[in-house]
Amino acid sequence: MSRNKEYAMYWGCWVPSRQPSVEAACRKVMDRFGIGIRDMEGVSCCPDPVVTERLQREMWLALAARNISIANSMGMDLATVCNGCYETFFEAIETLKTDNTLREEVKKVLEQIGKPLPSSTSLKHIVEILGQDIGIDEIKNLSTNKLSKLNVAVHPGCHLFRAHDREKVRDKPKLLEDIVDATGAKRVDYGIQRFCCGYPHRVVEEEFSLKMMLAQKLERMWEEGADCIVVSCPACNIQFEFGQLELKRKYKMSFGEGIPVVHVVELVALALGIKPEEFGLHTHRGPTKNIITKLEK
Amino acid sequence: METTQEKEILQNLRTQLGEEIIRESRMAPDSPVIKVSKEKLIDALKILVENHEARLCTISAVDNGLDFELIYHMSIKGFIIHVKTSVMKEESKISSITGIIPGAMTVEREIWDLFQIEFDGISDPRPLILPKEWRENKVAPLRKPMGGIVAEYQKPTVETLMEQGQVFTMPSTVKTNRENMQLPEVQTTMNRPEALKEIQEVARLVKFDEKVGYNWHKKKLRY
Repeated sequence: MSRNKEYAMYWGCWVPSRQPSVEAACRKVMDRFGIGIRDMEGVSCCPDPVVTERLQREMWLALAARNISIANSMGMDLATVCNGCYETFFEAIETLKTDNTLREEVKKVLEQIGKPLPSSTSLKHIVEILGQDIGIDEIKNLSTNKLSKLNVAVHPGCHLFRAHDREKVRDKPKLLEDIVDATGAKRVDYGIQRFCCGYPHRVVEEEFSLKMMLAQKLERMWEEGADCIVVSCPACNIQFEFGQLELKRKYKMSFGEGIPVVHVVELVALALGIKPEEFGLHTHRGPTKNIITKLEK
Repeated sequence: METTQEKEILQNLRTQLGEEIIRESRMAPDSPVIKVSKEKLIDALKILVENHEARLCTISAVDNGLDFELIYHMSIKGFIIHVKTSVMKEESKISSITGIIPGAMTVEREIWDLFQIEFDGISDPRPLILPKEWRENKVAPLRKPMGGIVAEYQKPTVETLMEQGQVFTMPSTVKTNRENMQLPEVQTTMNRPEALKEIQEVARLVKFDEKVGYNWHKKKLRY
């Protein structure tokens, strides 16, 4: 375990303005394990790896490079709690390394706003910080075993499969599963973990996204007895939480009172015995109170 | 490849118009394209006609959804130089060049008919190929609806990105929740005006604002 390690934490857009409980849980968990996280001042949207990148790659890369440059100026590695932000920074770092033309264009743009082109940067998803810097054993040792009654369906999300080598695409999703196991929760195998939650499709064709993608996953999770869903991506979180509300309202499809959704740092916070009200678990739109009820039984 | 003649013409334009020559590119190896603002179009064409004996071949009009592109193809002693300008669709109006090239009148009338671009000061404004009632009552046949590259569902994302540097606003309920959780103030472009200025400067430098059709004044996309 690498205690005293410090990261420039990129919270992204979703977490601070939609899911502050993820930020609160993350701060408390990192503090508990002695990992320093420093907020990045003046960062923008990563920007998102779907809309902005498709509209104009130069804009997308320049903003991503500016954000990475802020982490550089802090002298720290860059960390994120979001799969989408991870995807953007991963690809931006690669592009700046390999595409000379774009790198020179971005360099000129950054110079004009007084920022240097970022140098070599190490990027980590929170799953890697939990599973590698802190370590599975350390999480296991500090977990209170309170979660043993909780059946958990893990949804890694598409961008968590991003890796430099083809052989490593499953490393981070596997790490996520190992973290969940270390908390003492019971992981249910619902068979279609790799399947997309449907979030990217939702804004194009909502019915397809909800009925053909989200509902497929929810049905399998529900059949396997999942008490909650664990994600590592705020966008997937939104899709599972709001998607269930929409499925119920528009298509009369429901799964009991709804399956609650938490980010993996929130699950670890619960495992460490941090009280749910301390990190605002109740602020989720889904029935997270049912997790507490289950744990108190 | 730039010939001596071409070099001389472009140099003359640069000297007289300076920065008004917005961009130079090439349509074919022997066919240069210069882009000028619509305010300087007449000046550019006047230089070509009076100093280099240029003749107008024709004018092309292109509707790219957000703006019209007008390309004035000028023949100068054996080679063609293309003078390009943009007309915002919201305005759909440009000065006629019939004051310096009277023969442009029929082409301008045709474009007016087909694209509904008004040529201010044209010597004869009558419709050329469509019935005279058409202009008042019907949409010009080659004019597309106003639209850009941002799909309807992506518009809030792009507008919030341009206005705040983030793609989500901060609802008051979340603000309260953050205070209750004793979370620190968010330090992003959302509440760091100097950082937001950098993002907006980047958007201008890479011409993202032009590409998506962002109206800085209204803080909205133009469509």
